[in-house]
Amino acid sequence: MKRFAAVLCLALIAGQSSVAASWRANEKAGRLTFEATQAGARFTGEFSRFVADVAFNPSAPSECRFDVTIDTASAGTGESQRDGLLRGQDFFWVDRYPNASYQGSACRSEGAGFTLKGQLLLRGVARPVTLQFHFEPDSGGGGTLTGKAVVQRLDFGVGQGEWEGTEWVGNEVTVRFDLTLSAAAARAE
Amino acid sequence: MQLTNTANRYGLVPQSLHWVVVVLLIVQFLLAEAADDLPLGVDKLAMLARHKSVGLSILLIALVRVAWRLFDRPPAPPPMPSWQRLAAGLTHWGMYAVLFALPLTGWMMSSAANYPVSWWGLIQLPDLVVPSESLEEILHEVHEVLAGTLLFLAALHVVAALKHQFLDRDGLMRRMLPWVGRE
Ligand code: HEM
Repeated sequence: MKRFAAVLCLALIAGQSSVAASWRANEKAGRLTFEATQAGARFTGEFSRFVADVAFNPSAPSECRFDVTIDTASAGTGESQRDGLLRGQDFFWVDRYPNASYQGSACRSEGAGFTLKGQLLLRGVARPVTLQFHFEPDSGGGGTLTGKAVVQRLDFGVGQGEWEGTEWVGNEVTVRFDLTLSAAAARAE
Repeated sequence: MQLTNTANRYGLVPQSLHWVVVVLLIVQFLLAEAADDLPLGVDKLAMLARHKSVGLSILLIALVRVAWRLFDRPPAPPPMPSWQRLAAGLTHWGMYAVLFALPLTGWMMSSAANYPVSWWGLIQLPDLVVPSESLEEILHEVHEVLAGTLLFLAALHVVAALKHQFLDRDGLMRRMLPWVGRE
């Protein structure tokens, strides 16, 4: 009997997940930026084209699903020479790898926010990357998703040849996102 | 030799600061030339990072020198025609002005290019302007013109000092030299 009750409970929780709202958001609904270092100084760049499919319910985080596609050629740092370098073979190699993607499911609540251990596919290399994020619900059933992930660029071969050195260009890159999941971006399941 | 200025000699502190800046400026021009010829790569980043750190050090020393000058007046110059005294004053203050303006335009240029500046990788300085490539181009031009101005003023300064030493023989130059003559 106890076992039956437990199964019933699980079924109920699982049932709730079908309520998990789902959105498709792109660069118009937020920002996807990255912070890297050169010569010991931090600078910020931005991906100006991406699509994020997000299913998330803060009361059932384990049912979450993230599927993000990033246009690597949209990386911009405000300086065209460096942008050209980023698009080139030594960095994102956009001719060969026009997209990077991030996929994950089963978020966990942690402290005041959530984490998600997913896979980042970048420059042909897939590796686990953990997102840390907060969800701020709005009144209309949506909310804002704000968070970051810390990535070691060399794990993905971003930086070949002389750029494999980390003395002048740091290995660590912090990716930040800020997405508004509004009613307009909501998707029918 | 004493640290502060006397009636006819610069003190050890002003002298040291003067000669340290001379050395740093030579290094600074060599770094700029080296960086300028390189394509964007690790070497260029390294050269420019050093150029920025040395340039900021020069700015810091310029601040100290001007502050020192306010509290420790330089020795009075030997007798000379008033136009020469005026020319010397203009050259000196012109060089100070450029020693401030050059590092500041360099720093602004770096901010405009979204290459924030760190001082020897130890501390990151705030950005002075928001990134803008057109502004960066203008600042690059200004920086280059100021560097040329500094070279011109420094050349004038050196020629004048040599003239005092070898034509006027008025002993002006040893006021700034730590090793010649003791009074
Ligand atoms: C007294 C101090 C300085 C002097 C004498 C100096 C001199 C020069 C010279 C001669 C150039 C080459 C200009 C050209 O032909 O393109 C240059 C370039 C440059 N300087 Fe300075 N500079 C000084 C300080 C600074 C500082 C403090 C910074 C930054 C914080 C800086 C940043 C730059 C940059 C980014 C370039 C462009 C190099 C390139 O893109 O090739 N400079 N500087």
